[in-house]
Amino acid sequence: MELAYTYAWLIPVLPLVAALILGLGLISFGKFTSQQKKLAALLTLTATGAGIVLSVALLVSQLQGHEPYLWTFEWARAGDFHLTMGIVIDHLTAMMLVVVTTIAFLVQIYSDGYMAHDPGYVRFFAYLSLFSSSMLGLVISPNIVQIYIFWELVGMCSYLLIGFWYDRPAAAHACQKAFVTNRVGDFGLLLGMLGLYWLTGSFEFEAIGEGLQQALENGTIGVGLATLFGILVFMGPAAKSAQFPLHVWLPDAMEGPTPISALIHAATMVAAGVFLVARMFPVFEHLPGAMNTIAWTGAFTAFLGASIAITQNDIKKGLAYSTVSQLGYMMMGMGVGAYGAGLFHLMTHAYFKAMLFLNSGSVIHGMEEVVGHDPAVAQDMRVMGGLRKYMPITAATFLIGTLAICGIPPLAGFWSKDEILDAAFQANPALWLVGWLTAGITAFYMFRMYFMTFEGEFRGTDHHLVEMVKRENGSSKKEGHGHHSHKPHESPWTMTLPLVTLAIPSIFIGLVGTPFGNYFEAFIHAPGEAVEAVTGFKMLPPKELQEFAVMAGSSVGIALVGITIAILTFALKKIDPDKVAKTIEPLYQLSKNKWYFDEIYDFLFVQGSRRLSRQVLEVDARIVDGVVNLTGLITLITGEGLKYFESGRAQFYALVVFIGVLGLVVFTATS
Amino acid sequence: MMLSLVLWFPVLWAVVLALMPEGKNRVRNLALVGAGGLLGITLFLLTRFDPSQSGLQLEENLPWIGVLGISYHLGIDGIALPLVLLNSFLTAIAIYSTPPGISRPQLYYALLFLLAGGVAGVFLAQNALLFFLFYEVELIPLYLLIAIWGGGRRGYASTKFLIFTALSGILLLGGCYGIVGLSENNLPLSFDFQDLQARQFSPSVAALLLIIFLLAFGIKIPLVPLHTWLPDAHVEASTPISVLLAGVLLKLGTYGLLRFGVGLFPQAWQRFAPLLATWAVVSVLYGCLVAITQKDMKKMVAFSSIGHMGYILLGLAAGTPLAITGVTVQMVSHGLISALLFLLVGVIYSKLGTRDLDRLSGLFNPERGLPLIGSLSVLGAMASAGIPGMMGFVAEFLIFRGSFPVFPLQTLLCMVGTGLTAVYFLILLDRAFFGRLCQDNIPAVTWSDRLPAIAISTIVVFLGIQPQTLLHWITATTQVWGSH
Repeated sequence: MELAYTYAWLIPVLPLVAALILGLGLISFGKFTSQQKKLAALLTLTATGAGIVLSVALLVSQLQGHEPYLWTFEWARAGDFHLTMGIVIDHLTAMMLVVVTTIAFLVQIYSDGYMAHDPGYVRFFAYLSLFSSSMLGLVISPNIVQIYIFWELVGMCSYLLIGFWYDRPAAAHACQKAFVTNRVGDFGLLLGMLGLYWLTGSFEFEAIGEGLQQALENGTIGVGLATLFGILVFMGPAAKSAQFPLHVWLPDAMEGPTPISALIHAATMVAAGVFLVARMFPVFEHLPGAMNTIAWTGAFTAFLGASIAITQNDIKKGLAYSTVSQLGYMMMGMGVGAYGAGLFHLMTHAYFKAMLFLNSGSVIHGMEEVVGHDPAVAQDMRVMGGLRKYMPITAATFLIGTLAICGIPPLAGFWSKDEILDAAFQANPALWLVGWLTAGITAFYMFRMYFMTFEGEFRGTDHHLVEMVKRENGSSKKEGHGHHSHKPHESPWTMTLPLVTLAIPSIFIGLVGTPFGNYFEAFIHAPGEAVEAVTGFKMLPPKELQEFAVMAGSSVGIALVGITIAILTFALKKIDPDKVAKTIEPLYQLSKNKWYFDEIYDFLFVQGSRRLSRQVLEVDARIVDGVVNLTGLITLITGEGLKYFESGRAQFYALVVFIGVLGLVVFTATS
Repeated sequence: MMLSLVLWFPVLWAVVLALMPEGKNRVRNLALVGAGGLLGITLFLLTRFDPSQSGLQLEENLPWIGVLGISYHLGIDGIALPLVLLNSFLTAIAIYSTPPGISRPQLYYALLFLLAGGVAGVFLAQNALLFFLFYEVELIPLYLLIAIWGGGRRGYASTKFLIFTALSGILLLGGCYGIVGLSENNLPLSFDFQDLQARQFSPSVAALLLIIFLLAFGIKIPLVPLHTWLPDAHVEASTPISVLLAGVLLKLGTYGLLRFGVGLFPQAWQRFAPLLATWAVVSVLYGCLVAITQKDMKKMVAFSSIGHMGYILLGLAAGTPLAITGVTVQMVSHGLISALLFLLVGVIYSKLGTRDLDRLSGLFNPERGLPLIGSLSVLGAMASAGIPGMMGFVAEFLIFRGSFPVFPLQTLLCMVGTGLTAVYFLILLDRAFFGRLCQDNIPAVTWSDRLPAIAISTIVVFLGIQPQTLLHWITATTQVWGSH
């Protein structure tokens, strides 16, 4: 096992090497390299596959009780200031490594099918490898500076991948929006980091925590200031994990290819925010103000995301808001101090949400066959319906994912979500209430998606409807290029295999964290927290069992209510959704327009900064430069100067200037 | 003799080039040989330099005009060394990226070498008047390079440049004489920095002199509102000249501020520091905000320079050892990154005939566009916005980390600038590279177009991943400079 630790550095380096080979190939022999699709996929898969082997070995070793492994080197030094980088392999890292490598591997297999006909296939795999490398580098970081470095790099990869289809204006805007929004968060993160260093003199998580605790006890720093820095640090996770008010970029990021939405914008990168909060837990736990901020931000985001997801017609947008909402749950869990529960949900969510996104990709792939390569139509659920007949594997796995996210036992989502709600209830029943209501909404919108997509009649051949959807979504693409089939088809095995594989953890992985034997929490718990070892199945004492039954019963209950309403509305058509929408028109519009965040931000920040910079430009041109020109000196001399150039006597002029300068020196020196 | 070689070799080469007879490629080839030679000499300098020492090394001190207090006193330390290397490297890049068919090649290349010699002289001079002489000498070739080989409004731009920088020179000279004339202790007349350091002033005189130097170098850096010559000069200058102007010449201002301001008036500098940090914020935010609305790519990059030079003033104001280290790294970093961006804009301009962001689009197109130039532009933009993995991050992180304990608020506001940098460069990328391709039949980009940009990118990434390679040479010196 020691061998795995010795070679742990290979986990992020191998994908980087793959990315470099592909990148250099594209730069030097563009045409040739871009045709080597199978080779590129093989190279990428080999690198990630080796990563899986190492990660699993490390996880097993950690499970057997191996000491955390730390290896560092000095990256930059200036006097007594040292920046170290390195690798830390502890329980949390080992779990994250396995989650990231396995999902990345499956997504790469899937991409082979999904991107098969894309001219940018090799470029896609190069970016994918670069992302995997950065994400794995982030996970193994032993200090916050290294996290920040890889944090920015995953952000850059996300930018490149959202904008992958560079000729789509929507993609171009989305990648810009994602990058800038994340920069806002990163600004806070960097500032908070610097502030905490200023207070404690360290960039190491534990050391910052200890230093902060000491300083707070000694009273050398105020709680207010420390809390302020804590909240600034949290701005980073808030942006990366799409928390209110920085959540606006994630739904737009769906303009990227769907495998990217699954890997980066559902399973791994967006979870990095939760991961960072976990890493910074030794710091946050001393700052109740910051913890409350995190908890309430998470709770509000969970509700916000769910409330918007209800009315989305774009299948990927719906899933994206669902991701926002689920990330909110994780943050709420971290905020109430439920370290293990938050990370447990991170893991279960990573699997089932990755699967749901890959499902949506499979659906879109099938729809494109019928309605053409126009995302405005192919992703709209109004023209889907009845796809279960044509795509049975996709439908079955989507249903599994839906049940998992709704929190139906014994699927993965039930155990993790329930643990968070339980912890929230103990911390503050108001938080629990928000989470509980959101669970009901979640069940409703997920089943709405399932029914609209897979049940009923297929509506994709209804030209009238397709045209209407096209108009409404503002698509300008003309129909009729190429010949379409009349039926969608099931996706190739490279795409269905990852779906089926991901279904397994989506069903079973929650069982490692049941209250009857919480192996997960025994393995992953907050530093310093005492957790008793698990020895096998253990019946809870009656009082606790009763508590569990009440909590679990109430959340399953509300989920069932949500599902029932969804069935009544979209399967049995007993409720007319349009009529309901009419009666609560303002609320419906609020949800459909995403609470008008885009409009408000556009007015405040985009237009605002443009106005400001235009005014500054005006000042620059009229006043600052105007004063210069007003002297008239320039135009005068310009005229004179030009004469010399036109007559070609530049050399003479140079001589004059040179003599002039010398004369000036001598004159001032002697006088 | 090493330092004199770095300084006089390009001058000698300029004379040789100027005397060459006409001949199409002969002059260019000879210039390339000279650029390689200069780079080789500078690299050889590294082997003679001891990075563990903090003071001046390889000093050469010859009496020259004793009556005037001028001595031929050269020396190099860990702050000057990377800048001298940057100068030689970017001179080679500028020569290589000059189009082969340029008119009057003898004069052009001779002026480039004169410029390189003059700039090296400024970095190496250890006598204030010698510094001034080189500071002025460097101005003439640059003026001519803009005025003769520039764009349509070159007359206006070059004259504006000349007036501003001549004013800067006059202020510098006045300041030098002020130090000698207004000091309270009577010392033998000498303008050597080490002798000037021994002079003492009443606080008000020190403040006055410092203001003079701030104005002198503020024009060169440039700081808002003394900056208006820069965008015009950049827009009219040809690509290689823009590379040198942004890459090396702006550094003369910050380098001068370090030598004259921090070095000669430590007390007054400290009193002024809060004001200077605030001035840095104004410069940074102003540069960024004006850059956002620019339609001309080159102007946008030029205004971004104003923003990025502001960070240097912030670091100088904070004056902690770490901030001074950051300042030195940022001078090199900005030199390389802005050079990269100007080169890329130059390639786009030469292929598409426009730099107007409203008329460009879709250049990422892998078949008919400029995909590699696009990728390098993304790299340059990210580097400029301070994304880790590239050099800009190291520099900005060191400056911010070094300045935060002294000026938290100003550092915060400067950090807003890095966010705005991301905004305007993303706008540039969005307009120029995303979307549908704007023109057909774009001439093919050749390897000689790409090579300089690839060379710079490689260094930017390498030093971003291995910053110790650079820090190794400079930290001994910056520790001393930052210890006041």
